Amino acid sequence: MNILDEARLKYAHLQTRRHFLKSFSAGLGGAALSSMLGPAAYAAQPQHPFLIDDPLAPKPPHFAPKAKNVIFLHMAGAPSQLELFDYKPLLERLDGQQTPESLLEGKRFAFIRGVPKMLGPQANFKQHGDSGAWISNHLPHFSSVADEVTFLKAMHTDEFNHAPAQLLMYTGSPRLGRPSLGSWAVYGLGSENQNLPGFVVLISGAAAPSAGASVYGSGFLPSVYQGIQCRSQGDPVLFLSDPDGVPRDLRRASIDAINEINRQQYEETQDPEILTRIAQYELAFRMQMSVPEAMDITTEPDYIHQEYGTAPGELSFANNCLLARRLVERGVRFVQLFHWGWDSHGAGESEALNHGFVDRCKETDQAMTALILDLKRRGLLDETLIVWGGEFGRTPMLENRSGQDNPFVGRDHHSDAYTMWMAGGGIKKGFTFGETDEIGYQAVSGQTHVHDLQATILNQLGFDHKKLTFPFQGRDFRLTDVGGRVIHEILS
Amino acid sequence: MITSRIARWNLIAISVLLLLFFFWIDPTGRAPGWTRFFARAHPALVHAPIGILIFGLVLEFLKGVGWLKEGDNIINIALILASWGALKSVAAGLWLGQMGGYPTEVLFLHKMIGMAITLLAAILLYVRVEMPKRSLVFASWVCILVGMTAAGEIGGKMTHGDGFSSEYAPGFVQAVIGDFPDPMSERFDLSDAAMVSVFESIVLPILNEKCASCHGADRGKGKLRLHSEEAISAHDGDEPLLVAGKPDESLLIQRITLPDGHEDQMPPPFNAKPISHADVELLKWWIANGASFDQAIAEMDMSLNVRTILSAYGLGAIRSGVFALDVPMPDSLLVAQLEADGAWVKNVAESEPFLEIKCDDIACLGSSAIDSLTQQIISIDISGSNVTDQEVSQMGRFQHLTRLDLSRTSINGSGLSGLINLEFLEYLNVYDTQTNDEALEHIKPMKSIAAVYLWQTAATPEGLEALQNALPNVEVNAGE
Repeated sequence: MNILDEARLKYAHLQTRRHFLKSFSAGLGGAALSSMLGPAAYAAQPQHPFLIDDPLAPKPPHFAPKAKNVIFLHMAGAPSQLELFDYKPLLERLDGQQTPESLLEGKRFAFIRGVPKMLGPQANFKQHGDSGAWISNHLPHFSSVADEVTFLKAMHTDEFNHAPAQLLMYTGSPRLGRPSLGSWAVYGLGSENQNLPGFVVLISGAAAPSAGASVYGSGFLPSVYQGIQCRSQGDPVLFLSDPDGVPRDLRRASIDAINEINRQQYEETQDPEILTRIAQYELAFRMQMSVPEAMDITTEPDYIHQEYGTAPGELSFANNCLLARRLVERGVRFVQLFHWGWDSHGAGESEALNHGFVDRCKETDQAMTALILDLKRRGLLDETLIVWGGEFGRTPMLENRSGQDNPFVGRDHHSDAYTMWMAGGGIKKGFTFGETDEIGYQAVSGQTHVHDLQATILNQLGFDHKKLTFPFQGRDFRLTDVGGRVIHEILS
Repeated sequence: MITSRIARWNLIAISVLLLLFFFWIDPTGRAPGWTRFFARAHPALVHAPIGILIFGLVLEFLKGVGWLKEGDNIINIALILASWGALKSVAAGLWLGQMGGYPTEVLFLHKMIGMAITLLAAILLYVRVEMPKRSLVFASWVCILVGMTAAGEIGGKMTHGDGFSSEYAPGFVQAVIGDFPDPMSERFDLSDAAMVSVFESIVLPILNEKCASCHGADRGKGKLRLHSEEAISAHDGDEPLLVAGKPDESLLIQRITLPDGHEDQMPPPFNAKPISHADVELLKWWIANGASFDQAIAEMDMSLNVRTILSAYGLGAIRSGVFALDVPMPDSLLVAQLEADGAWVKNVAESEPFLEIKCDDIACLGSSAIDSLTQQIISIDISGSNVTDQEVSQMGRFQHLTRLDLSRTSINGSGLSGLINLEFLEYLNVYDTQTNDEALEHIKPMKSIAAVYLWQTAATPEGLEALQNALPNVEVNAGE
């Protein structure tokens, strides 16, 4: 934030508080006095035309960015790194053996109790590409783009339950109330396309992320920066269409009237949230025209549908990948995808490593590969950062819920070591950073915390994560809280 | 009762011993083992005579204003004790100076003042007893007080570094003595990473600070001098001082990385300025990169470790390519004009002069403002517009262009000939156009090109292969 913005904000904050105190103690007296003095007293109040500025206007970052857009593919529920990327032959040999006490001492798991058995990889691994990255047979398409990505093999997080871990991943804190990654990005950069939101959320799978809308909320940032959920099925944005019988010019007229009243209210109270409301009415009106166009994938040629495996009108991860490309093409900064169903405990068929997990791989493999290749040939990949991963990883042990064997094969939540990958946006190609031990239980080198990932994403967008702050409740807050190190090793 | 005889003999003895110490303890010699313990006591020893002198000064003051009638003899006894106490700490100080690690000039001043105070205490005693003139006594006391303050300040500076005494002083005190601690950002000159050599800006300051008091212009212990390029090049020893590319085989690095207690460890363990781990890393980095005397900072590969160290010393982002150019900030009126003419204009970053522009229509390229912003515009996105080869051929005027997106237009690429001289152009996107094999010829001579996007164009597989062969390190993407 530059000094002028800060001054505006400080002023606005001051104004709201002052206004409250004024109306509380001397409001009536003031009103009486002003009516006696006449309109001149109002005219003497300072005007701040800059406050009417569009909060989504494009803003320059701290330094020249490597990436302009981010597509974050979140595999909600936390996919098993041991069945996808982190190949551990030793674990195969240890399969079925009791876990040594030394590995369990001082550890807490979400569900494992007592002494669990080790579980070998439930997949076949092969090395792919010139980089020789290990990728399992569950991702046959993705294997072909191994040389495009950087694997972060030693990610770790502080939380081992879904909601807090997702909050930590997106807001930098496991508790509610902080702004999300996409909100920080749009707060810092504004929006490139004035007819579309700067931060779009696309959700597929049976359920929304367990932390709810807070993982794409704006927290204490002005709410104009929150993520807007779009849908690949039915109305793209809920409650966006006009009611039957309301023509567009009538809609325009009513929004003008509402905004005029809001503007008057704003001039009296200086509450920045009123600006948000004005901006949202305006954006919603423009989106009525632009969103249906952007979200309509029926206009895509057949070969695109074949590459992505899309079917217009469906609620699917594939459709969302295609939408992500279309949105990025149109200047949407941050596209956040969530695909549910990776929580492979083995307590039921849909969450078993050899059933539900395999289905999830099939649902995502082709589309995410097509997304990388499609962005690449359009010249968009080098300035679009793709991030893939879950909120944590899974244990090398077979889950024994409450000490009993589960009916299906599964693994418990594991926060100490898991794999994510990044592609495009100034990240190295065909590179692996970080290494885990022989059973994939702990990091051996290149350990990367969630805050480091966040610092790196902001760095690629042109921000020093320590300087992208917002004053709230008496101190400056930032996404990475008091942590975060840019992973320079993976930058190209 | 201190008689004039005692005062006289005291002055003679102190003078003789001072002269003896001064000539006996050679400042360039090496302090003998038994003296080192005594030498290290200098900071403790020095405070006894200071206290005694202040005691005497207070008594003298009280006498002067008439509050004290007696006490002459006590002051005289104090002066005897002070002169001998000062002599003792002079000896310790001279030996401590021999142990090295102190900046020579300041050390010399400190020594001179210390010896002067010792002598002055003896002289003052003589004056008080033999010719008690008030003005003379008063002047001597003032000299002693000023001398003690100065010597103390210098001593503190030498032991604890510049600004030790003034660091937390109130602003007006600092303004008077003008002595500020050097911030880290001033240790090395890193202002122009593309120009300043690593040797000049980093290596030499380290060597001067940590080595040159023994191996410098004044002293060349072990026939080694490290104060200049010539001196280093002239070194001729059994083992090579510097082995370019191999820091671990270089004597310089070997000697400064020996374990504590090793007799060859450099700088010597009793040195007050040990070499820091960060300095060792910087010297290793310089040697690993060839130990060149003129290579600039920006030209040397930098590990994360070295980058972290140097950024603590104030090294900013290393600028390269178009960002290394000195381009003025754009005129905001011109930018507003360009926006009014239909371009979407964005600053690349805060406090960068560079702009990126995006247009849906060629009208913006005809804006009256655009020709005055050619230096600043480094990215043009005119994809999906009605741009023609005619306009493309004139884009050579944007001499700092790094990115050009012409995709989804109806050009055939003949206009690309106008871009050949763009020396910073890295990214060229012509996907979904009629660009043909002929146009690919214009891409081949592009100096900085790193990625060309040619999916859905009229280029043939043979043409693409020829382009890739001509530009083996360039990403030629035809969406295969």
